[in-house]
Amino acid sequence: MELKLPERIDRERWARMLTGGRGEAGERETLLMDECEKMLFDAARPKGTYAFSDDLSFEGKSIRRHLEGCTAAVLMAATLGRAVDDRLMRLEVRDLAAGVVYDTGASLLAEQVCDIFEEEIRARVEEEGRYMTGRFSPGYGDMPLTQQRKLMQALDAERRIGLTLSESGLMIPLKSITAVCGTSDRPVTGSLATCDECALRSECELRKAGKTCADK
Amino acid sequence: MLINDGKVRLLDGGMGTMLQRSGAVIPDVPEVLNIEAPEVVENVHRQYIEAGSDIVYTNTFGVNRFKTEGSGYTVDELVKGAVRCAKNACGERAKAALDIGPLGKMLEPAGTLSFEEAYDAFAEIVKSGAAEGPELIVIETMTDLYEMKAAVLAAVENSDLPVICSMSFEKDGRTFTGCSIEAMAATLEGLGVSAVGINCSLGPDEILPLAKRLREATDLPTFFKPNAGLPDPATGEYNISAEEFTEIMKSYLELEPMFIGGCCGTDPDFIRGLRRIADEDAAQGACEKNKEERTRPVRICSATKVVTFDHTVVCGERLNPTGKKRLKQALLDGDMNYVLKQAILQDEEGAEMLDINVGVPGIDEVSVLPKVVKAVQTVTNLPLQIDSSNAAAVEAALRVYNGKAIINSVNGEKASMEKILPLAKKYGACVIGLTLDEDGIPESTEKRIEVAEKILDEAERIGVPREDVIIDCLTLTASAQQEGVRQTLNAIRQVKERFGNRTALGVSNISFGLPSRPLVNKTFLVMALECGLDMPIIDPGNDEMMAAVATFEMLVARDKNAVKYIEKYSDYEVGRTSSAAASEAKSEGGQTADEGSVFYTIEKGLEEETALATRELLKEHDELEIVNDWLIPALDKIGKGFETGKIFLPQMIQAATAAQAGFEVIKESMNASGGEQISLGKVIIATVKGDVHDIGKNIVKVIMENYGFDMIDLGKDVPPEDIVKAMIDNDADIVGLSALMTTTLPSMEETIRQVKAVKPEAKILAGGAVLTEDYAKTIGADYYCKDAMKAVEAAKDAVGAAQ
Repeated sequence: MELKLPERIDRERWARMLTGGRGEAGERETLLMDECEKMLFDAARPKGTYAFSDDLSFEGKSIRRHLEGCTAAVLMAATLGRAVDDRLMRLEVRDLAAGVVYDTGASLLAEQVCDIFEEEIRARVEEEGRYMTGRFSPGYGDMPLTQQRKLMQALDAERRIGLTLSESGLMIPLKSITAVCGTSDRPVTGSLATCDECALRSECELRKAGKTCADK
Repeated sequence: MLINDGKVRLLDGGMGTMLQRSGAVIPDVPEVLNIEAPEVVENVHRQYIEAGSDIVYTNTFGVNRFKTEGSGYTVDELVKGAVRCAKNACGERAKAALDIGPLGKMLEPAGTLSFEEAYDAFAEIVKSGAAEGPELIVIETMTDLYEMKAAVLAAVENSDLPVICSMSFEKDGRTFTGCSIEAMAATLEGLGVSAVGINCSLGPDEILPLAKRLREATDLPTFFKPNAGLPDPATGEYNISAEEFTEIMKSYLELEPMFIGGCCGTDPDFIRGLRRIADEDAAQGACEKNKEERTRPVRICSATKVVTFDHTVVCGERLNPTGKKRLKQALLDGDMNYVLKQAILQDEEGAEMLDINVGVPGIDEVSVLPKVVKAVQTVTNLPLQIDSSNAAAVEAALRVYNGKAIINSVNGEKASMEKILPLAKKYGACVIGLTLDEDGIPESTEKRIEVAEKILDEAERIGVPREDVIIDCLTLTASAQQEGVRQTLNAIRQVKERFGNRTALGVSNISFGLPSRPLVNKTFLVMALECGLDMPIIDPGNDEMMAAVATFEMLVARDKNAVKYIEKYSDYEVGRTSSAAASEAKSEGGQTADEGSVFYTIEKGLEEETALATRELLKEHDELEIVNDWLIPALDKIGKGFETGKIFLPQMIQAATAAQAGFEVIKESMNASGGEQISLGKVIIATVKGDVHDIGKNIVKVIMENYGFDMIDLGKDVPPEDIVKAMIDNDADIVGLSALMTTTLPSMEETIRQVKAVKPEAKILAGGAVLTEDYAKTIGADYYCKDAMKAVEAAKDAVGAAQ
């Protein structure tokens, strides 16, 4: 199905990503963000698919804890589409600085599209009087990236939204997300991964600064 | 052969749901049933044949070396088993179509599967399947035209069976990868397939308007196999009944398809419905169907852009090294970035297609031409003209071209026609026909027309559509053969009058040896356009020439209501060249001396201004001085700002790009004076195999280049063997590697192992988002580079260590 785009790309987060969290975007960055936002909205053809599943057997402590108390799961996949990648390849040659800004903005846009998609699914789940946790993606906490394959197969994501997985486990188109949400008859919130099981705990800049990735 | 008697034949319906309904246990790879429970598969085929299918698809949609790996059976076993199941069920009543689906891996450039690997995977299926005697091959549910082309070539080169092809489109008439219906039709028509169609993705209601577009776009037979409506997103259930489906499919019969059938969610009830309406249609007879004569349009395309020759089509000439020193050097150095930038610029300047020629002494065209074609199609969707006198190079490039290309060129010599025209036929390309032959360029108009006719007749005889030959009547130099100009123009006029073919012309040769060449070029261009020139091959960066074309289009009323003309030229100042305009714009900004300094222009990221400022400096200083006292200190200042958090990545890259323009000026000056190039050392740089995130590596490359390293960029998804080879070929001691994903770190490790095995003293610089200092050391990297500035430091250190 076609997914909705947000009104705008979150400028505050975008600027933070571009400046490594060190400061506010200057005039030049703002100009580039304006340009890239236009290009991204022009190129993006966001598509998504989801399915209900009784299978809660995923690899990783953190995802299992996230699904505690849940009786079923929603599997989801979303992508901004191929044209976003095509434009990036061109920008990298034409204007590398714009390429960097565009690339970051595209990742953010994929997140935002997925946020909206998740809320749509949540509304449908809640209509049935059920509850749903937030989404949890392979690669987060200690859930291996290889679990992407399982999600994509269950979702028939190649046929439905044109999402493929390369031999080395890259999702192509690049700006794509797969995720799992738990559902239950009783209220559930899910729990975020903690630094303890995170694969990146030793070098995480946020952690060094005394923060976690939950502090947006 | 397929019978095309105007009667619609029936395909089958969905396979997956029917297998589930059979009650059999469905393995992870359902095609395993072809061997373990053939009776189940045969039974599905039989049900469809009894419902009225004339053709059934073998149960091989998901069979290929990637998808069925680990199923316990080889591709050969699964395919042969499937064809046997279908043949057994068919008997004399129906025909078996060997079914080929997508590989499930994205092809280059977006993905990591090469065109050649895709071809091999398809060829494997075709060879196994053809051995069991199916009546035809169907390639279906494709969304990538490039993958479709690999499959079609594999099918026609490895069997004698008729091939029919269908792709899956979204409501906007494009596939997931952006391929349009018209681009599919134009490309597949030329590859010799028997029918083109649309299947899956949507229901019959949504596909109907797309089906009409396909009918308009091609003279080939068509076929349609829609889903049973649209699926519920959560449950996957389709929303249309067999009755509704049948009712809607009646409208398809007016399009006179060769075949109809159903895809996902359809079952024998749907086919029974189709049988009923097909029989009713046949009973009505074909008498009321009147075929209208259509003139076939001349079209070329990439996967996402179709160009129709119904107006003046500007072909960009700048990717032809004849007389272009900088491009020659770039091709010899393998500097793809320069080549690609020229492609992008010509696109932005308004070219509608690009000529690609790599003919430089010392270059192996057979390997370089396809490489450049592959690279150019990653950055622009303009259709390409493959320009070479080497037939093997032309074929290699046509093979990997994604769309319908033009070959430049064939001429009236027997040998040329024998070599080139069969290539145009096989790959479905248009071809430029030069009006010269064994006796050279004929002086008279009449002789040139004779040669043109000879080429057209021969093309037709071989099976290249006559209209797909674009005649080039050849521009002679006015300074040498003044009378010849009139002959060229007359010849164009006569080609149009007598044959109606499209014409092409390289324009700028006219002014060779004359002063003020632009005047001559522009006047001649307009004269030729008036005589019927359709495709001028010119430099789209020349505003005056582009303006002449746009004005001509307006005056001959092809640019209706002068919409394009007014949009583009409302603020145009006649007589002003673009470079004059650029320098004037600068002075309007109230530039002070300080603002013109290299420090200022680099900090502000101004490319052209940095080049200008560097040229100014060259008047009083030598190259080395400028590099050491201006360019490098300016970069250092930016680098410090970046490290202290005053300057951010985008600005640093802009500064580096601007500095590059300065270094380019220095390079030219040194080339001119024959001086030695400044190089701190050669560095091989690549994104490792399996990874396509290229941007980090590209940043490092630009910045290291600024600091005087000779960067040899191998691109992304580069196998370890290629990196080792480049290191040896270039005698480089430093290798920079990038990997962005945890899943591609092992690939980095393997690359380091291979590099060190061959050259233990080589220094490895490693970087990438998930890499850490510790991990980099563990896998054998000599330097961990957190960012581009660290890479510069590391490389300097490595050079010091080596000396």
